[in-house]
Amino acid sequence: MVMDVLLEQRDTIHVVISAMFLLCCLPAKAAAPEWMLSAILFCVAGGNELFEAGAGGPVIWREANVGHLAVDLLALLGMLVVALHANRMYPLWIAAAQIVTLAGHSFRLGLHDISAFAYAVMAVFPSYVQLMAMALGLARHAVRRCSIGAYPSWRPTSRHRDASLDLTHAPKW
Amino acid sequence: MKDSGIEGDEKPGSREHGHFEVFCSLTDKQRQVLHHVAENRTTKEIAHALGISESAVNQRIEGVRGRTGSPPRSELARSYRLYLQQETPTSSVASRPAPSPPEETSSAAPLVQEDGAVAPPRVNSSPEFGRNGTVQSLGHRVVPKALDGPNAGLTRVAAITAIAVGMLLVAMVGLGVVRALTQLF
Repeated sequence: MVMDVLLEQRDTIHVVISAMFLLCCLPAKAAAPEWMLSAILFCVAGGNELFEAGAGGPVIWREANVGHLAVDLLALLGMLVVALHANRMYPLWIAAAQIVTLAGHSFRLGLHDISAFAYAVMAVFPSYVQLMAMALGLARHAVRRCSIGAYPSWRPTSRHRDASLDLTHAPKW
Repeated sequence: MKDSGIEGDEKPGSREHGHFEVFCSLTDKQRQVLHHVAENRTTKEIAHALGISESAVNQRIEGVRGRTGSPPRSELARSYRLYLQQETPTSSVASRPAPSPPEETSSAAPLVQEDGAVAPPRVNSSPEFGRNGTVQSLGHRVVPKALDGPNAGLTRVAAITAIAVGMLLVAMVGLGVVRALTQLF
């Protein structure tokens, strides 16, 4: 029963929860990674809903939901960019969960005998991991902001790292 | 850029001491810019980080250089780093930004006021300032060192892959256990 609700109402649940994340970012003046990931999660859920509403239902090709596949692929690109550059840990989990989701789509496309339940589990449940990671990440960010104040949102680029190591380096004027 | 004559006969120590006196009386805006200069950022980068024009950045730097005898920018940066290093434990100005060298400790350390009380670290709430890694927050490590080093991109991709594989394994084991339990009962 619970499983059915989690599987069938995923997009609705995600729209509501990711909208709450976005609202949480407002008063906390959250940093760029939090904003970006909250927006991506919201857009994924909202995009899926809009896509299915526009297409009049799920677009199925070789038993895989192509609409979800396209939205998830775009989301993965955004998540990877944030995960590779953010000064945070939780984006790694969010990106990893997205990879699992895409793996589910891929298996469904490539393997005809994969069960519908297994596909649903692989394609849907990682998104709940993303919501949990996002919630924990926002909480940790808020705690850090309170305890140490402003801190870098992004990891230092190699150019800045080299510059800070070379104390005699004179930058252009 | 012209190099001034203060690098003549004066000993470096006394020259820097003169700079330190100037640094004590800087305005907040000049201090913000010098933080970035101390990190060897270019004018363009500083302007982007602080959300001001490049000419405004140059104006503030020139204001400091004019008072310190127009040293080269690299020397100004080095002097300010030294100033931050030396002033950290004995700062007597409550409004002074929490100083820290880029390579060492967090500058979010508390400040010691004149009456001996410890003031909380000064926090710049400007999102631009924080996003670009101000001196005050460079020492705080959020991610493990392996994910923040020179090969951070590769290690992060490896970590993402490992987490994804781990999730799949956990899901497979979990489903296997559920299936086994279902068959049992």
